[in-house]
Amino acid sequence: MKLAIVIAAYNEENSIHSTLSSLPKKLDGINCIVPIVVDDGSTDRTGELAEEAGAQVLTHLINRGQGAALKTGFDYAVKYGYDLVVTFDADGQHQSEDIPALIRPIVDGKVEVTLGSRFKGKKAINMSYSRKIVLLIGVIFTRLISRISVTDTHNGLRAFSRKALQTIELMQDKMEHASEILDQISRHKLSFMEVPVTIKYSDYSLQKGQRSSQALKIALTILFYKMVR
Amino acid sequence: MNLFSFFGLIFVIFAWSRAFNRVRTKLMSWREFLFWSVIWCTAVVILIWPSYSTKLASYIGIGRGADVIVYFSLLLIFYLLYRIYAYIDTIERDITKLVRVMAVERQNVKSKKL
Ligand SMILES: Nc1nc2c(ncn2[C@@H]2O[C@H](COP(=O)(O)OP(=O)(O)OP(=O)(O)O)[C@@H](O)[C@H]2O)c(=O)[nH]1
Ligand SMILES: [Mg+2]
Repeated sequence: MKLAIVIAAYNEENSIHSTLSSLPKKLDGINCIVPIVVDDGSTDRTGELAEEAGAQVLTHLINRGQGAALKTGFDYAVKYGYDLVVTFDADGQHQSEDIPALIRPIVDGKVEVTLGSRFKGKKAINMSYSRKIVLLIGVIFTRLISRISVTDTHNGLRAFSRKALQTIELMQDKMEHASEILDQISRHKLSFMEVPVTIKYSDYSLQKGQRSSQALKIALTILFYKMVR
Repeated sequence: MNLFSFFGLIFVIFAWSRAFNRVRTKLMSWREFLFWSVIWCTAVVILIWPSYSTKLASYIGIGRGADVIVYFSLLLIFYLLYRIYAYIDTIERDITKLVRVMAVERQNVKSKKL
């Protein structure tokens, strides 16, 4: 099986190299692992550094957002015959040790999608209380709106089978894609499973990461699109 | 004719002529021009004969003529805002599509060179 590790990166020159070198070189049941970095109009050396580290680099000439970047990676992976895609953050928050457990259920053909969760056994390191509350509201919101029950709605560490990639049609270019993925899993009745993962909040990731107030914008956008669809 | 109608008329004629100019230079379709013409014609009629708006108001059951104008203007503005929103949304998606195609294309070229 061919695995693509898709990394959406926007101005991550400080962490892209260490992220890439932390990725596993060998995994059970996988005979080819290719890191694919989608450099989303970064104004720093993210793209160059990723190429130096041996990743395939897809370059967005202008910044289109994480959702748009992931879809570029997905389209590429489907086009070039990958069987499996893992999405991984470039800012050092994800742990590569979590990848084997994440892909196992898909390699074994048990489910089409696995979703990382920081609220299932393993933990989130240095996560603020406000973020915890926002994520909890996200869980409730998602259960009501998309009728899918998960413990962590906005975790960027996920794995998809080829079939799942061909089914899920991402429309949201920005951060709303996380809710959209769950919505589509539910709508298309794709089989999925949550896998415990560790998310590390470092000073670097906190300074670069999302504001909790983003959550409101995400909720409104999702509601709007649910209504007009 | 009072001062308000006078300046109102000048503005309407100016706006209408701009629209006509855009049709002439093919930047606007005739259909769009028709849409704006209906709106500006209504404005002209109401500016010259304000009593019409009062008649219209009592006909559709709204108290004063001025209120009808405000209601319709608001509706129109909301509709136009929606149109602009939808239009920008489409453009954004198209830009993303372009950027995506170019990204994959460039990667193709790169891997062929290797
Ligand atoms: N392609 C692309 N990637 C982005 C963009 N913004 C952020 N990313 C990447 O997406 C990943 C996660 O971004 P963060 O902003 O940390 O979002 P998050 O991890 O969900 O939120 P935090 O919990 O606050 O860190 C990182 O790898 C970023 O480089 C963007 O505009 N385009
Ligand atoms: Mg982050």
